[in-house]
Amino acid sequence: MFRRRQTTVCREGWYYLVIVALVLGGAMLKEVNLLLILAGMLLGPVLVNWRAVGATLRGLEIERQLPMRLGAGDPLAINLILTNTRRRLGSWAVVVEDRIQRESNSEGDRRLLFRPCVLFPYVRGGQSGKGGYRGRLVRRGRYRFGPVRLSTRFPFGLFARTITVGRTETLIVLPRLGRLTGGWTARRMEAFAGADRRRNRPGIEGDFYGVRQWRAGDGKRLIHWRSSARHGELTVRQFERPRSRDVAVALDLWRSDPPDAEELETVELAVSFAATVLTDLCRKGGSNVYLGLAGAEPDCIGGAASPATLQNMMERLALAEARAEDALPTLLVHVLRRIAAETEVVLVSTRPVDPADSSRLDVLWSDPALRDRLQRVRCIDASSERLAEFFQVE
Amino acid sequence: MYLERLLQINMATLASLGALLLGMGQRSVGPPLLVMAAAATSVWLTDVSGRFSLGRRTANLLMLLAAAYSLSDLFPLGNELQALGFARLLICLQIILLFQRKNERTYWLLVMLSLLQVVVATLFSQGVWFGALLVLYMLLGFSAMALLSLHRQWERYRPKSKGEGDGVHEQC
Repeated sequence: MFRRRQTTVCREGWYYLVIVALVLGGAMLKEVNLLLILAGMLLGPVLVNWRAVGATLRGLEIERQLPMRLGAGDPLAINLILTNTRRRLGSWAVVVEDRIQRESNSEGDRRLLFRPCVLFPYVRGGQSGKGGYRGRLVRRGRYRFGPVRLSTRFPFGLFARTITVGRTETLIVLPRLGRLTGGWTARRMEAFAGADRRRNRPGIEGDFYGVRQWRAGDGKRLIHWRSSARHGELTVRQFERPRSRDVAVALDLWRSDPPDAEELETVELAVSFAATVLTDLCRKGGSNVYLGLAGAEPDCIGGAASPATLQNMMERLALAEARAEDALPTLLVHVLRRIAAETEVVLVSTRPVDPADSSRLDVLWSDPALRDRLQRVRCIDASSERLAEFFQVE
Repeated sequence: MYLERLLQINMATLASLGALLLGMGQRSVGPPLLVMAAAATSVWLTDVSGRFSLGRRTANLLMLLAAAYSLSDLFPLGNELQALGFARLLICLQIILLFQRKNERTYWLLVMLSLLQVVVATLFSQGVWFGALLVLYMLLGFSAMALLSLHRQWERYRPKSKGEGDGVHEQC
């Protein structure tokens, strides 16, 4: 933590000094003693104010209390605690100016700076004063808070003393969540039933569970000949049927260069949709959930649906940025290789995607295993009005 | 509200004391009494109850009239009556300002006018009582400046009840 101090003359201070100079000049030119005394008296506040602003800020410490987690558009409440470590002398009219800056790779976004100010009218010696500010951070991303500036003009407002306290903190603002409609639920159920139908084919799938007596209808391939010989009757192997509800959400955030407002809006919509789907899946639990993100290097994170997994994925979504390059093929290759074969893949893109486009997705089409799985990828175009059938922003 | 009321009373007292010092210098009772009456009335009518206040245009017009009224005494330059004319102008301006709705600018103008009155008064008076009242005046002036500074800070940074959007606006 560093401290930078600065004392400046305020506008009122300059006016006051000019008046004092005029009175002093007049007194000296006209040789009026009373006027000279008056000028001397007027100089008093200048000296008092100069000393007082320094003394007021001495021994002050500021603490900021950030929320544990925050979603875009949610009410933000920041508490500030100003502690006066001096024993006796109180601090009057201390203004605490915080700085909030959104960290981003984009130059324009980095300039987005808020400077909320809070006035602490009086903090007794050895005590703390509480204050704070509220608002909303409507955009997801990482925000940097600080450094804090403490300033005072007490008592006369002629001079201002400012101390910059260099401690900064960051807060990740998570994507805004929306509401999944009945259309999405129906589509999910349909996908799950489809997966079940595929799995109900006779065959050997899942982990070995044990052996049991042969029943009519059991396939010949399931007969365990060694156990049958030992028991003297036909015995078949039993397997656990995995009812996979695992879902991977692949997010393709594409934008043109330079992007227009509509594209940026679509990007936010796509992120919100992905965040809402992942939140819904993690709340229900009982499955593995994955998130694939395109970036300089494609990334796929996830695990068993849990609050910790969700938090991790939401933070990644909060920091996800759209790119002008076509990263979809590498993203899909990365995600499909990372997850199990039965995992349902939902591709959310900011532009229309056709899995049958072999020229664009030639990397996948050239690999038979990936090509087969590509056919089962469900594509959702966030720029399409059809998204409203599945998702509504709140 | 308490701070503003305190400031209003302090300003009215400061204006009255400034006029009293000017009156002592000029050996005149009329102007100080007039300002004292105006200060007391303005605190009640303009600041507390808000029943009467001069609009900006009316106040400007009245100030022009006051300047025109005092103009005859201001010229020719170097005349002894010049200071008296200037003092009369200060009194008139002060009374007009007292009956305006107060803001930071008005308060500062009142302080400046009052100080100018005292400067003019020092050219005339050298009595002991003048010195004693001058010390009292300075103390009142300092308290007025302190209250004005606090009021200014409070007005600027006080909690706002509404406002939200792309950023942080409210504070609690």
